[in-house]
Amino acid sequence: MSITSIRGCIGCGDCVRACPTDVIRLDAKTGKAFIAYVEDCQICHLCRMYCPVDAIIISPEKMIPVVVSWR
Amino acid sequence: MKESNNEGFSRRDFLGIAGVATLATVGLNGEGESTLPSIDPKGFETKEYQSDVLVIGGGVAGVFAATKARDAGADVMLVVKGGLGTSGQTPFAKGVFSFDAKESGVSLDEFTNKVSRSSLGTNNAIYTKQMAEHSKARVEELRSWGFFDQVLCRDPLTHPIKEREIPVMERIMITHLIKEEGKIAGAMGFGIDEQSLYLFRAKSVILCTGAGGFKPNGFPISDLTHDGTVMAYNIGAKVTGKEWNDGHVGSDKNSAASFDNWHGMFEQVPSTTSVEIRHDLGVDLNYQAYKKGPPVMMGPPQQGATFVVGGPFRPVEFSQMHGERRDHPPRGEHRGPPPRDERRGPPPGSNGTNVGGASAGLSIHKSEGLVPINEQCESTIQGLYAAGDALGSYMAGAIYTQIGSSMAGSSVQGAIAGEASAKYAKTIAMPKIPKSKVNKIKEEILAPLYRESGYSPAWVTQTLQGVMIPNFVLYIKKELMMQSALAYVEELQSHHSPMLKASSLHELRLAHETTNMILSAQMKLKASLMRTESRCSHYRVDYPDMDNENWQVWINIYKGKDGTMEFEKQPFGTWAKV
Amino acid sequence: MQNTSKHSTLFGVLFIFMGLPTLFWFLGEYPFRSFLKDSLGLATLLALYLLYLQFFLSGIPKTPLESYRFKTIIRIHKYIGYVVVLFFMLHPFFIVLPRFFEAGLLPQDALIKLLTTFETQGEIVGLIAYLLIFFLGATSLFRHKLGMKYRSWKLLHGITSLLFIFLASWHAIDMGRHINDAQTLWIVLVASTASWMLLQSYRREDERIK
Ligand SMILES: Cc1cc2nc3c(=O)[nH]c(=O)nc-3n(C[C@H](O)[C@H](O)[C@H](O)COP(=O)(O)OP(=O)(O)OC[C@H]3O[C@@H](n4cnc5c(N)ncnc54)[C@H](O)[C@@H]3O)c2cc1C
Ligand code: SF4
Ligand code: SF4
Repeated sequence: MSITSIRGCIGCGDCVRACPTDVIRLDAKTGKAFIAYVEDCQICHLCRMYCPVDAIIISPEKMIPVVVSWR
Repeated sequence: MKESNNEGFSRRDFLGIAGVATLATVGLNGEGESTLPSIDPKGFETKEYQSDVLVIGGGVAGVFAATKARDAGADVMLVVKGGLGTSGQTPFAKGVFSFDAKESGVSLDEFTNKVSRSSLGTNNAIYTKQMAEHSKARVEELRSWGFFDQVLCRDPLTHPIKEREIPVMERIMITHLIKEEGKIAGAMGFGIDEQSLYLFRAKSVILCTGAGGFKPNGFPISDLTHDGTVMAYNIGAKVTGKEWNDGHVGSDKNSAASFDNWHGMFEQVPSTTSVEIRHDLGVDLNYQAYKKGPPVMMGPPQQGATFVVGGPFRPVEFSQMHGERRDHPPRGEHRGPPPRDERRGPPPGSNGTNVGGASAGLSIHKSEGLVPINEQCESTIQGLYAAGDALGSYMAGAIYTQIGSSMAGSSVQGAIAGEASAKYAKTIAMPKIPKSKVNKIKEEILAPLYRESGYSPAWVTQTLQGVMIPNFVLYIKKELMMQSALAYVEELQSHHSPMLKASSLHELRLAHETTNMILSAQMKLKASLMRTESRCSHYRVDYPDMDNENWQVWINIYKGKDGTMEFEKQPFGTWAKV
Repeated sequence: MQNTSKHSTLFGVLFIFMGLPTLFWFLGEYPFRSFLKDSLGLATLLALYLLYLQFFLSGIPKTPLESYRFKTIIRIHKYIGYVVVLFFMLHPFFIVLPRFFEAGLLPQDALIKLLTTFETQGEIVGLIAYLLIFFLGATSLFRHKLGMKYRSWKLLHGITSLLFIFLASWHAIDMGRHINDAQTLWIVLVASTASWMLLQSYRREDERIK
């Protein structure tokens, strides 16, 4: 289901900045990144590539129905 | 030292253990519910900024625009919807064209002519030539910023901006351009992190907002919704190129996974490409799917690829490759092997079963966007410039021609627009923007937050996708289907767009993006209905042939006096009139 | 008789400090990342448990390991100590190591980011623990050069270790990407027992002096 989990986050905020579609946000209390708007994930892996501790796991499956031109 | 151990805990021991135990329950791996602060539409403050030149967009075009405007002596600001170097299409492009006449044995004019032949006259030869001419210089600049040294482009693209101390504001969506006394006066938008509106007063604005699509599945462009085109259209600028299609397909399995669709290309270090002109990524595969039904495969026929005669016309000279795009560096240029179970191979759909619409809503790069009135990237609005994917320069024509020229074109145009805009800014005084106008825009921006009932942007977007993305609407066109789709889209436009509701800043952004997509869809359908011929990436089953008598023209779209959408023809090889 | 008890003690130790943690790891059903990443992850977890084991190998009487000779125990303690200290000194490097083999942020940039980010509790605690590990290593390696009495050195060593495992456990529970509730509980249990034992031994010593 798109971006799946964030574990081991040190709260640097780089994934938040790197995500083009604003999927990830920082939790005000813990300072850690969390998945706020998973349905907008475009599965581009930028967040994962920017994370210094490689905390982000992404699956290729989209969690909302996918509209394509034919199938 | 003899004593029994069963004395129970001492207070001191207990505290130690309790401490660790409390930690265990409090700090449990951050898996608790995280929430964002709720927002109050009345609690927005407007922050004001001022600069000679305002650059909107942080892709490669925006970076060059800001850099060159600064070097030309202007005081510059850069504002980006996402992050600098981490939004738009720039982060995903890996091949950058660098023209070298000596090395390639092709002269500048030969190159330009060949692009014109492949694109069936749809290119603006002046922009084609300009791109090639300056590509090498821009590539060398990119190189000096470290762009070709690593996979990620944030730091390399930030380098020249930091060096010049150009202020950058990220995660701000610009929704409105402001025009005063016939000239550009600034722009306004909102932040997605905190409750603030942003008013930018500027003598000149350069739109580097990229292109857009219908948040399609399988292509990393969900953050691009033609915002620049729509904002400019709304203040009276002419825009173009809406009938063309970017014909990227995705893979049948996990079609929404852009990363996986591109087989690890996003993990490559960028490199340069040299002269290789093609006629790529139109709607050939869409035609095959239409004619014989899925499954459809790409590639040479002997490898199981489907082949159907007829369909979009392809000049003989460029007939061999069937839709495969190779504007990426050769394999093996990874920095280290890629991780996980990548099935490596060429970009989307060069093998395996394909589905269409991966980039739905996107036209061929540089064929859509603001209409330029000269080779300085100036739009039909005084003081408003556009560069890169936001400018309808027709640099490549209405089909993909030179590999890697999109990045080169954005860089070259960014630099040219930057200089031109700085020069223009020197000639005028800082514009004034009346308070009433600011208040009106503020109201428009925040309206979705004030609505207590209304449609969710996500649902409206999905509905729009359902109407627009089917092969028989967007790609294999015919009058009746487009008319029907238009009826739906106009319903969304007149009824749903004004009733979009948002309850967070994230959703506010989605609401504005949805509105922009609906308008783009309308433009796409109407322009496609108007062009009663087939050419390059525009294919109509009811007008399958090229019509050189009537259609050696580009279609410009603008807002008429009464607010309706107007269309005009502009002959190939001419400049638009203001 | 002596031997079987030794054997069962050894099995017990392996079970508590290696077996169960590994079992909890696998019960977590974490998504496979890569052989290197997952091996490093498991090694880090086990290294943490080795640290707890150190408390039982510190020559404190009244532990299940009493049946071993004091000298042997201390030798093992020293050996494990240096290995684990070295391992944790490399911990930040191990985290960015996979970046050498895959695309993304450059390993050096990742390391700098890692060591200069102070945004979350777990990270700050981890960095303090990281400094402590250098202190522990250095004061052990150069014990004779410190010119301290053995007794005061031992106290210093014990207190630092106590502080260290407190912070390290906190860091692990808060940040560890393979930590589930069972693992958390086990860490808390083992760490508390270890600390409790040490504190008990100090109290006994206290009383003896009195
Ligand atoms: C997967 C993929 C592979 C590609 N491969 C290649 C390749 O190999 N070679 C090549 O030449 N080209 C390639 N392209 C095309 C190329 O990436 C683009 O043509 C080029 O990056 C466009 O650059 P740009 O700066 O004009 O726009 P973009 O990079 O799209 O930047 C647009 C910027 O505008 C910002 N923006 C948008 N709307 C707003 C708003 N409302 N307010 C504020 N800011 C806004 C965005 O956040 C973004 O920063 C590829 C594209 C994709 C998607
Ligand atoms: S994969 Fe892309 S879209 Fe999804 S969360 Fe990461 S950066 Fe955002
Ligand atoms: S990039 Fe990684 S460490 Fe930084 S905030 Fe995101 S998940 Fe956390």
